[in-house]
Amino acid sequence: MSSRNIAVVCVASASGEMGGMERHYEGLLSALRSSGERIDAVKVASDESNFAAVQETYLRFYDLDLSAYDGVITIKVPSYVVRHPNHVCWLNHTMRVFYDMFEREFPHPWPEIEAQRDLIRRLDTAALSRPSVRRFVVGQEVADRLRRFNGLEAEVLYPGLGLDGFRSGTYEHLFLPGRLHRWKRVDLVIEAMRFVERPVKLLIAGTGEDEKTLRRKAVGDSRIQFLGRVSDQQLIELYAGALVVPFVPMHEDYGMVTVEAFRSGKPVITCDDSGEPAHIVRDGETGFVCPPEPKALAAKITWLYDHPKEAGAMGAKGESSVSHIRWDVVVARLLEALFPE
Amino acid sequence: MAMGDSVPDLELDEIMEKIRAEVEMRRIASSAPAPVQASTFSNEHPFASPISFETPHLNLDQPFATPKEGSLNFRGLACYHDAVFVANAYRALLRREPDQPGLSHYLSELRAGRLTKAEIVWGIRHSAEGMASAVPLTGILRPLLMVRAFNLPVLGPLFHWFYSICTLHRKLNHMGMMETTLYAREAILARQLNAAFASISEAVNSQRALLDVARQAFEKSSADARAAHDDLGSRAAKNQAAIDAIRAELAERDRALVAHQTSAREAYVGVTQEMSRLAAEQISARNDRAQLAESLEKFSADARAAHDDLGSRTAKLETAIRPLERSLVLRTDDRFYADLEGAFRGTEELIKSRAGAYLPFIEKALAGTPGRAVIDLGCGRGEWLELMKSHDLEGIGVDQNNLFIETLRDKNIAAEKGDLLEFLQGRRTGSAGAVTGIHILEHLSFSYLIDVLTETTRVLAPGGVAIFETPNPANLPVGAHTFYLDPTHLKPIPPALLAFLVERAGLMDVETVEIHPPPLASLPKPGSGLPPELMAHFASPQDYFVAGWKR
Repeated sequence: MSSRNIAVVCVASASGEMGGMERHYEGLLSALRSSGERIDAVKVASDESNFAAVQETYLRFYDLDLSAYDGVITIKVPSYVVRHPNHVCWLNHTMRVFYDMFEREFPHPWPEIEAQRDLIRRLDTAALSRPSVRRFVVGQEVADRLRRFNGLEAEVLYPGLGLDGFRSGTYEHLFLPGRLHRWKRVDLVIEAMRFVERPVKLLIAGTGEDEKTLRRKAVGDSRIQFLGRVSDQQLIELYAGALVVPFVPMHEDYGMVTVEAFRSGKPVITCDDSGEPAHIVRDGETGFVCPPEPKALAAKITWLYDHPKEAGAMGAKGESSVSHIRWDVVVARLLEALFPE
Repeated sequence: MAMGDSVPDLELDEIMEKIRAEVEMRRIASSAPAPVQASTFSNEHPFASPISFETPHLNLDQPFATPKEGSLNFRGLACYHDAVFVANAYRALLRREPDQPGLSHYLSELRAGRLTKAEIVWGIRHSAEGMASAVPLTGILRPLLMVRAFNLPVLGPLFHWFYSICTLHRKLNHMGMMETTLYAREAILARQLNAAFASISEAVNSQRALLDVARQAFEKSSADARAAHDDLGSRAAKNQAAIDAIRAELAERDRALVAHQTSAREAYVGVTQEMSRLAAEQISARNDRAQLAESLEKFSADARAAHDDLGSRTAKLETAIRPLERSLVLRTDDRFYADLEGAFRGTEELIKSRAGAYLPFIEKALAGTPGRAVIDLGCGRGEWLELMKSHDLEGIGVDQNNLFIETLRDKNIAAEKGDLLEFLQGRRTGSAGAVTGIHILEHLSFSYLIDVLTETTRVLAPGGVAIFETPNPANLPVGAHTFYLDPTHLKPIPPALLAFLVERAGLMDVETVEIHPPPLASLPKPGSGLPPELMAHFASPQDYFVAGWKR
């Protein structure tokens, strides 16, 4: 079998911001390349800073000429508007501000913003419902949203991790990595610490737009430490020494953190409105799924602190529960969808 | 599916084209104003430049020079008129420009004829400011006095007339001069006016020419616009027709596609059902797997528990066996063994003299001193302890036999009844200068023996020595016969084996010494026909000891 030309359409952020998405692309690209197919990463700039910029971004992808390829894989909004007869979309998320986050961001919407929302939803539905597009999503949460807002079904395909070498060590601190953004709800964990009457440290890694607010919130509690940006090696070490990873975002699409924590043999505490983590974590078995309230969270943290052996057992169960999440599995499924034979 | 009846592909295209139009509009609106055709207008178009006139400054008065030094002559001032006069008077006498109230006051007085120039000059000069400046003024007195004189009642007017008549010829001269001056000024004015008119008409003419250019450009561009408008109209009509045609075709395709879509949707529903069935299967498979994993886990936990249980039971068994093993040795009663010892071991004197061979070892190990006691395992009747005591060496014995212990206590010799291993285990590490065991090891089971040697090494202080004496099975009658005189002996220990065990227990510089050669009388007679190599076995010493050092 001769290898085929496949384009992976990547979205390059106009702000040049590097994050989980870049790792996601790198993971997919390297796994695809090792499959023997000829893979091109087609990078197109995206600007979501205002609605006019969003419109132009949609147009840039729509006008992309991909006729030289046998198949196209798209992931991030709005790359799925590209026109190609053999197209697999493995969606990570649509523009959430026009979907599940709309009411939160615009509690009192005005007609113009509603019109924009409706346009984007119609556009996404039209693009994703084309017969040329086979739909996959990165998690149950995204699948649920796609069904609710766009009336479309999609197959869940969990991505692999961008980093290898996770290992389990001692069970000591609470560890919470990630972007410091209000949607990640780090403040909930900080508030929960007020009710944790144990000498356990909360180590927070990462930077973000809400860092100042969070730091202010943590003032006076010496157990809480902000580590800023950490290296991959440090990240692995921090996971290895964790007692538990309290990861409580709002409606998270995927939440690599959950899988990384399990790979490190650590239990995860998440909330019932946290999205994908709440699908991955089995309450009482591989961690806890509790209501998004500081006291509820604190109770679970305290229990795990008092029962480190049980924490270890839960983490070990978690580890085996995510053993099937691998890049080669992802690539095999995507190629099968592109070239069914 | 939530989709309406429209065809998805077409809907996407439609939305995207709308967005394209919006983006285009925005781009046009935000870019700079449309560039004007170069042939019609230049970018720097003529209306932009302002019309400028050269307006010459007209000054008919001679410039007035304020004298810096010397005196000021009134005549020099008086030749100016009106506002210029007042201003000059200020400049000359007060050395400043006139203030507005002052200027207007003097001006109105002058114009109304209430004050003459002389009075004004005098007033300014004799004001407080004028006095301060103190500009010397000449030629003022006469005119001033004249004015004052003219103002005298009754005589004043007469004097005025008289003066006027007298100075009539001078006034006429002045008039002539005045006339000439006025003519000259008129000529200057006319020249200035002509120059101004000329420059105005020149400017007007140039503007008219520019206006002509602009008008022509405007006419041409409006003609262009009309043409473009007409063209657009016709194109729009054409486009409309094209759009109508496309619409009709689209409607046709729509119908076809709706039919197509219906069948596709049916197929899709079938596929989704199949998919959800598969998903359900997957879930149940996953559950099965979870159950399997769980039972596997449970099974391995059980196995682990069973293994642990087995281990603890084995340990228990081993501990249970040990007393049994010992009882094998010690079932004999104490009296019996004491009698046995008396019958076969040899006299106490003999034993004591033999034990004397170990004293140099004890000395070398600095044993028997405080903190480095000698422990005698299986001390028996205590011959060795007694010997040490007589040499002021500190020793303590341990033995299972009650009778031996009681006898020793009577002799005031330190000894304890008990199990050898337990006794050693009760001693602190490094607390003994020597451990001796004279004819005791052959009473112990092998695993017990190993434990005793290990414990011995532990309790010995650095530099301490361990000495073990036992029957030598290399001597044939000992190995084959006399060893078994003591029924509590288990089996003989070959010297090489004991040396190996002592070394293995961690002691160094291990030496083996054969002692107590058999009495000549007991050896086979020379010439009995025994081969010499066999003879050696009869002649070997009957006992041996192994000594090892703790470093």
